[in-house]
Amino acid sequence: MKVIYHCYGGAHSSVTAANIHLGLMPGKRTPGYNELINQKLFDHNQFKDSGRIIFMGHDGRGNEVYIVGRRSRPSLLYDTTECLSYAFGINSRSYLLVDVASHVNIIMKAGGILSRRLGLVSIGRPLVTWGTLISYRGILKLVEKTLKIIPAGSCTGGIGLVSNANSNN
Amino acid sequence: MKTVIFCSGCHFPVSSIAGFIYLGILPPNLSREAVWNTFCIDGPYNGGGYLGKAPDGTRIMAFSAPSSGHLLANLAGSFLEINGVSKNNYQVVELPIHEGPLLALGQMLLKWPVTRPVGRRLVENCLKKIYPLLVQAVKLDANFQISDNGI
Repeated sequence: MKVIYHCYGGAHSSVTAANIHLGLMPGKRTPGYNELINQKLFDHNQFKDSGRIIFMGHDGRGNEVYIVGRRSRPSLLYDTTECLSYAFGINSRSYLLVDVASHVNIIMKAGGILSRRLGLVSIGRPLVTWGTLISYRGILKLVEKTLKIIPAGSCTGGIGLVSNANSNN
Repeated sequence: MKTVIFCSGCHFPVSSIAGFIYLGILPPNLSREAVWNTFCIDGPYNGGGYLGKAPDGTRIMAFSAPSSGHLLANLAGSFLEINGVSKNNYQVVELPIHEGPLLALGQMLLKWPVTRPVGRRLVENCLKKIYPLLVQAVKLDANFQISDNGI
């Protein structure tokens, strides 16, 4: 199965979730500041990368883990993938869209805009890292929930159990 | 069987217009009535997705969302790629139309019965400038640059 974590920019919360899923970030405790800021692809995606689904790795359980930034339009992601799946005969149960944006706090938003949108990395990156530390527990729980769902096979593309289509982040 | 996927970042679904031109449902010369009947007769049309199959067998899809043409193009391309669909089987075309405020305003005004005539006028005037470029784009098999000349 393909697990696709998505958030506004695909640079912080979804990256953190994907790295937790892959075991590259701690699953039992909150990481340190340096551990978080140095994780794979953290604060890396540019605004122009919006919509690009990026492979993060295999999770050892036969699943592929991806991230994507879809700005403030999760419905675009759901509708487009559903439509393409139908047209190209892709099994909608072969992927799961997981919305991480509900765990993005105001500090992460401010830091993300400063770093990714305005290019003020020296100010934005520490801020977004701090915000991610605050939200880490929530992201961790979401990943745990996702990992429980996958073996049950109860997920569908677009409106998976852990997706949050109403998020505006 | 090849699929052409048109993506645009406009409020008005210009990608669907390009798709319908490709399919032959809309004529090469702007027919305001045809555009109106296709897109606006039941209120503003925001749909997309699979539009149909052209006579040459090419399947046409279209997606539009305000300020999200690039996002849609990236999303469509990468989603098909990760699912192992060969690039020979599809072509993602991003219509780089820089939408001005009048087309967006016209589209918005179509929602209410009182403002519909004004909205229709605005949309038709804006499409008058865009339409030939869309026709040209389709003829060039989607390798093109479009400018709306200050709409």
